[in-house]
Amino acid sequence: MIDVAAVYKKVIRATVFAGELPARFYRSVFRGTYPATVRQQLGAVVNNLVLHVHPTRVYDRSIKAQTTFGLGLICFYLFIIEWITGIFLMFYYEPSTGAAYGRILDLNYTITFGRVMRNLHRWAAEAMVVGVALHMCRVFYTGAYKPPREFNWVLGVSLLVLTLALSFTGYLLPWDQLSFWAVTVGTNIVSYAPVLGPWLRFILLGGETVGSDALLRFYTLHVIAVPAVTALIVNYHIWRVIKDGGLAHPSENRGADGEPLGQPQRSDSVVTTFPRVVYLELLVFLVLMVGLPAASLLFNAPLEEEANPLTPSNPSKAPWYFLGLQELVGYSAFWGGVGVPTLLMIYLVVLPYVDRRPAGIGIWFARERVVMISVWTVILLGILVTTALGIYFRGPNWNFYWPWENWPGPH
Amino acid sequence: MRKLTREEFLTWLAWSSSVIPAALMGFGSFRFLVPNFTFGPPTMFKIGKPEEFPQGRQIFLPESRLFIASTGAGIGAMSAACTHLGCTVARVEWGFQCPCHGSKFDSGGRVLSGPAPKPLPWFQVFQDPEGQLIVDTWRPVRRQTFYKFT
Repeated sequence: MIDVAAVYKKVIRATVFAGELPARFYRSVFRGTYPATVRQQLGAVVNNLVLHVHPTRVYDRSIKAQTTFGLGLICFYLFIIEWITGIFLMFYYEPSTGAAYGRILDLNYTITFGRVMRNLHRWAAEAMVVGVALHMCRVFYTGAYKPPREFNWVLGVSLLVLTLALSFTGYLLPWDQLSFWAVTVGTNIVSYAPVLGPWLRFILLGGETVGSDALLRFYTLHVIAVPAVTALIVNYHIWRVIKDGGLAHPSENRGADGEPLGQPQRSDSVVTTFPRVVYLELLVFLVLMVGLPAASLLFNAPLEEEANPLTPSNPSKAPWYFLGLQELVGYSAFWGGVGVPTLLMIYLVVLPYVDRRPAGIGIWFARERVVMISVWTVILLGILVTTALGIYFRGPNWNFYWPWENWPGPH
Repeated sequence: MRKLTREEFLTWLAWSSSVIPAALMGFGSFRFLVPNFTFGPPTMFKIGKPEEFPQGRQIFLPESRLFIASTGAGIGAMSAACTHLGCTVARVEWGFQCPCHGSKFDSGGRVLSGPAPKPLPWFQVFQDPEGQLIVDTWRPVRRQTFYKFT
């Protein structure tokens, strides 16, 4: 005979078990309840793999939009988006001179959402170049590179170089006229370096000209070598932020006597990282997640006809962020190709070890730093003007044209 | 009806503006990976002119993995790919045998023994304007279907 009562009990027990399963699973991932007390909120950051790169508490001032504009965070998000969209593109791309351009056409015309995926990758990359530059300017203008953050600034400089390297190596992959001649010009700038220049170019291209080996090399650099190094340094860079005392804050400034300036202010209050900072970071992510796809639906990444080594496009322009250098190369190959970039790198790396005075830290455009700020601004303007000249004012044969002037010839 | 508070409204807005784009992007990413074209091998094979297949002979074409049989009834094409796991079957006296797991087929492709679940399929054969015979492996036909050609 069936024991009805026992079966009934078993059914009830199984139902209760099934009902409790989701909560049980949740608690196996996140131990404890939603952190409500300050003590629990501190624990929520320390005990979480993703969150523990944050300090447990931050200055209220540090999370105001105008303090950093979230630029470092935005660059980090863009880097992640580049990884994800890049992996998707790798499912279709083939790094060979015979196939690459056709694969890009497939992405644009045949593969569902292929064009959007390519646009996302392109626009996030351009945004990353701009974002990293803006982030660097923010850190400079708020004096946030001064001791004890000198080394993190140096890491940041290396990330700027790596971002440009990522963008430049990706530039060749579509194998269209634009990419082929941009990389031909870009690698020729490299060859103006004294002694090592031509050799460096040979190593980079795997030959004397941009061909199938150059494509394979740029591909390997672009999809694994440079991203891997960049990911490591990004992690180190973010980790160093807490280790160097969190975001730069005015309370670090010292007077001529070495004493702190004035009394701690009301703005020196702190908030717990969870939940305020976490939600703010998610909000920035949300804006990117809506904005980037919208931009990618509206604007197409450029693509010209297939690369043709016999017919140079005229003008042949390097990627836009190198057009300042190309403009200088027009006057002097040595200064544009080697002198100016080397001096710029030396300036950037040495800067935090020279400008050490604890004044103007955490303050935008502090009056005490007028000399340093002027020097930086003049250099920045120089870069912007030469770059704009290269982008908008140069036509066939690198002649000067106003942006509204028509270029001669079949354009 | 209870009025929505400002906080509740913003929470809803945040959730929907995260979940909807995430769902759309999830769908888009998945759809992106479904190929709209393939670079797979062709499914139609030119096998030659009718006179290259003398009556009473059965010819094996290794590249297209087909047996072409020519009888008084005409020319027929049968697959040489075992229906078990796709190995190429070999001709034996009484029919065909698969070297991988021992499936046995009679001379018309019917399963005699072994793990093969289905008989070897036969395909449509047609002739193009130049007189070339073409086998279309996307069009299976009944077993022992022969086509007459001139």
